[in-house]
Amino acid sequence: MDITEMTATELSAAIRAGKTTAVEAAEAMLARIEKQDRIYNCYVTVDREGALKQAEAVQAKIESGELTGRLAGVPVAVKDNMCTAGLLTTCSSRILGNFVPAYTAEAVLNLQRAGAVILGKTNMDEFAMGSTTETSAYGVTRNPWNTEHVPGGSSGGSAAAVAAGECIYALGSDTGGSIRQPASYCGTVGMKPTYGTVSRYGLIAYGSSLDQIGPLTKDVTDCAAVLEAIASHDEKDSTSVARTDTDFTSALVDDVKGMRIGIPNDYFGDGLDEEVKAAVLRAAEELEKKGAVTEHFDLSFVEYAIPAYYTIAAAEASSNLERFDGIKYGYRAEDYNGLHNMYKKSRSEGFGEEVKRRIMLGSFVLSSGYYDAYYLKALRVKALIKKAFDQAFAKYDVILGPVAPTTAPKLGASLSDPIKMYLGDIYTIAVNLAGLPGISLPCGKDKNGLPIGLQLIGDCFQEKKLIQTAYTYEKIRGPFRMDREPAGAGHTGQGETGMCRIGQEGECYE
Amino acid sequence: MANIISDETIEYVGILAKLELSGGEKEQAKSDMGRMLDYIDKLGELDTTDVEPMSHVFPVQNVFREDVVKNGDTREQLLANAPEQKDGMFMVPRTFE
Repeated sequence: MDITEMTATELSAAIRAGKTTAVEAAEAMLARIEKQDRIYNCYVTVDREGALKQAEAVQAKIESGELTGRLAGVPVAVKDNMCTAGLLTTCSSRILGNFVPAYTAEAVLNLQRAGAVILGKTNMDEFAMGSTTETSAYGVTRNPWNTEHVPGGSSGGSAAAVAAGECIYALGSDTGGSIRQPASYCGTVGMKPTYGTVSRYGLIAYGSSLDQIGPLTKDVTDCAAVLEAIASHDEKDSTSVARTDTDFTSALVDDVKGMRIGIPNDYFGDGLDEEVKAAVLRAAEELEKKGAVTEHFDLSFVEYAIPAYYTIAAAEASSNLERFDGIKYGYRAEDYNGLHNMYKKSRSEGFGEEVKRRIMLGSFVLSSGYYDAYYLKALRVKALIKKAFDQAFAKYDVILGPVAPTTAPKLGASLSDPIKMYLGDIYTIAVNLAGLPGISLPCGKDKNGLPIGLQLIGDCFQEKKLIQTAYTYEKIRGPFRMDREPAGAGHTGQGETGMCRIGQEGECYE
Repeated sequence: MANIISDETIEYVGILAKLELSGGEKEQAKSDMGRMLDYIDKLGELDTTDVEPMSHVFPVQNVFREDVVKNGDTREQLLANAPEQKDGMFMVPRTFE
């Protein structure tokens, strides 16, 4: 029994049955992290002592019968943009390099109430701005399927940690695809819930009208279980929605008879890799064989989602990131001349390139004279995009398409051209603009052995249809795991280039 | 490139954004922002005359609650994050001469 290869559902059952303990589970994960995270760099912070202490407390509660759920005693990794009291929270930025929150994000608290054991905080694109986890101030994360490739982003550390067996599941956040795309690149399941389902309290804001926290897991069952645990109505988040239908595990039903699935022609046009296209369409055929009714249709406005998104997200980011001013927390420049110069220098030295690029763009589109032409225009286009989805969901239960145009690109291939990187978000971004739920799950591998992701999109509050469809597809597809040498063999990467890796300190590891 | 960003614009946006860019960074920012705006100009292809700007997907109302303190005293933890503090207060550079 290798604990690190288990799902949360399997592990919690094993703990309840007395076959292992929460402490053994935490120790196994920490050993795995110790052994291989210098290669992958999934974590910014590993809380060894804290994890073992939590595990002991949780184990006692499991034994006393106080904790009985699917997540009790199961080790989790949390993206480093969610506040954790007493534990460093950096947003993968230099500006928060020493920030220790005084409180814990509501979604994380919900997990702790369910008996989760927090292993540490995962790497991400700085302030969640990026699609590759290469804009982190704490080094790139490598894709466990092939360490020459990116894990995707911005929740790349979370996705890679799940794929690498360095946590059982993880939390990520999704502003324009930041859960679904790394999940796709790393061969894991990832879900962005309907806006308002999971409290954003304690999530360091990027684009407030778009941000949602969600699970990254090994399978659809865990995805439903984690979502069920983190969804809550929270008066501390004014956009939190009071839902009574958050018993998501009830949707783990192997049946799609009569499920109406729409396949947008606009998601299969130019720029989509042929192998990705074939794998996604094959998944649609499989679902049809199980009784789903599939139909191709024109969604429209797809090519306008990216420019609308970057206008809105940059505008909100420029406003949200004004709080980083070198006074109450975070980095303050050494030398400055007066208050305003201190603000400017602290921010200029503390923020990375991509963050500054988006703050500049956001400040511009909100400035007088340009506000109507850019910002309000983008909000009008958002309304059109939402309407297009409304029309689609009048006919279909689920929209099916790819997550990203390609499988994981090579390290260093994306950052040179920002617009090209932004185009990689074309199939995920509209979901955030329209506030919809979306799930990503593996549906095949390309010729290089890299995972391909299938995306299912639902109407607002229809997560259960997504979970049911995804669960049914997963049953058809069968297990999808990375081939790994048996634990202890000392080999972790894949392929002929997997033997020698450069760590953050420039050393070469076995 | 249709959008030419002037030095004055970059200076002005730098003030709004509270960022101090070096000479090289300014040139890069001018080119990046110009390219992004060219790209965003694609939105102009759509007629949105009668479309209301949508800031939130769901109707959002003000959420009211009683003004009752529920969190504990975290003054020490909060101050511990400050770059500079003195006598239980955040230290800022001299603001008035």
